[in-house]
Amino acid sequence: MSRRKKSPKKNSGPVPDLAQTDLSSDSLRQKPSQEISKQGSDGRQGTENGERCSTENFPPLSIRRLLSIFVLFHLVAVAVSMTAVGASSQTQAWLNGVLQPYTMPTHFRTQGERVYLASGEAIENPHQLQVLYVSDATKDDAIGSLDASLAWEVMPSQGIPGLAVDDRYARWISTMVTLIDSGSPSLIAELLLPIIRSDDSILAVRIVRLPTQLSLVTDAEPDPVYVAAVARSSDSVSLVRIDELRLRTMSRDEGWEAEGGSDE
Amino acid sequence: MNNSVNETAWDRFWFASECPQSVCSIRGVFCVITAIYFASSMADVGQWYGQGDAFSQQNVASFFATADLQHETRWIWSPLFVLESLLGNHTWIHFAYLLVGIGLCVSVIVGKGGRIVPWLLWALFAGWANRILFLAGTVEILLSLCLFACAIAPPGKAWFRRAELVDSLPSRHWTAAFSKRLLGLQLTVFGIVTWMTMLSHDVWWNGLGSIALSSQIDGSKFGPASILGTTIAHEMVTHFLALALPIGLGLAWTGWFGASNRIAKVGLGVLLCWCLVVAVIGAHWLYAATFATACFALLPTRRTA
Repeated sequence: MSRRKKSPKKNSGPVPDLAQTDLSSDSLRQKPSQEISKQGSDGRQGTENGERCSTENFPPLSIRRLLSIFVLFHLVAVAVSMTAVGASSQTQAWLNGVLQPYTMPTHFRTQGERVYLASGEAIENPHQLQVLYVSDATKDDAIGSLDASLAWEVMPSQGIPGLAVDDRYARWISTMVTLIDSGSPSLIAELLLPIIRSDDSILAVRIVRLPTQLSLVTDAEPDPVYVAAVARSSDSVSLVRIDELRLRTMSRDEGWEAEGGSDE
Repeated sequence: MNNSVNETAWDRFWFASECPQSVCSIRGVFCVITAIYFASSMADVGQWYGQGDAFSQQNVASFFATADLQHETRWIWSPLFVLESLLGNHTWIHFAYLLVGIGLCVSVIVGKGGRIVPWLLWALFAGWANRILFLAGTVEILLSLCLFACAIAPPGKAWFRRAELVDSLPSRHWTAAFSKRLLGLQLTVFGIVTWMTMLSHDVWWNGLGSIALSSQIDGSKFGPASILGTTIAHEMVTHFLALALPIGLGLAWTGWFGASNRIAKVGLGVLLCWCLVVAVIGAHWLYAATFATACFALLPTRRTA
């Protein structure tokens, strides 16, 4: 970005604003006819920044009033919709509902999208969609135990990490994880089935939460948050969710010996 | 125009006439960002919205019906829903829509088409953001707000060559100032809400916020190992991100309250640094670019020597 050299003129033309200069790559110069006199036509001084306003170009009072009301309404609507993420009071929820006809068609509403940068919660971890193909496991094996020992293949994003295409893929998986966490796993099928329908060789699917630097040591392994087997019939495809294996109790000695441990 | 003698500080703030050059330049940058956004969307259109895809119209309708959320969708409007209903669920519709969007961006940048084109661009963008539903994120909201505010300004070229500057300078108009003030205030509301919601999470207090931000990206080249490897590094970045936003916004606004314009520019610099860190650490490139561009609307325009 270049700045115009200071000319040795002494005229009372406008001083270019740095921000304007940077963006427009040239300084702002007014025609003499467009210059604003140091003293307004009514002799009043302008605002504090050396800015002097001519009264001649104000819109009519009725328009000013209407626009003032609109500005207040608009900013309140934006603030209400942005702060309605997570827990909202009843009043805020009601207000948000009332403002929906304005905020939703215009996409000023967050629709649950967080505006904070990060919260450090597990739901923000990167997630992977993994699939198990018929060729990678016999059907009996797969239905018996859909665990990490099988050859799960990652269904990768088509984009570069951090760029827009990858972001959309991440949001798609994030939506499904949100549905799992909110106790609506059945809705995941609506988002996953189109992919499964397109490939007859998919036997099972799972969503894995990857550990991050913030994960506890106990969560240091990829954690499958959703595992489902694909059930195909002649005219339909459906997903059957496989619940997590329940923890079993066993004596320490029994478990230790079963794993081949020895006390030396 | 009405020569009212009753104008108040409020009126002078919102309605004083101003040269539209700076807001046209800001709008031009938004158009570039929007064009990049549209172009990037073309890369994976075939993956999401076509017949039988996860976000095809039929599948989306089925999703909301299963979830019993049809009432939530009645205000989600998009021309694409209409086009898909009329012409069928074809990917070329989405391609064509995005191409028209890019064309409108170019049209606004070169100042062609009058006042209607910036409004069309905003409507088209909001329609796209509504159509993609859950695939939309924070950047769509911010861009929609910014395009809306900039559409109010008079039409004009975004950039001039030096030779054509004087002749092509648009005349002063109150909508230029109104557009810029709205942009600045929207950004301030957005920034304050971002800051407040950030602080409601522990990671922005215990120094791990920057790692939480960088950890969201699987396979990012700018992960903790490369930049935030040491405690001092990630804690400094975290505290910078938590403090720079309110400080930058506060300083940038001081120009309107009699302080030196230099202080406001320091605030602008702080905000731009904040955007840079967010872009690099969190890989929120379009978000950061949009935020940074809108920051230029915060500075008061000095109009006399």
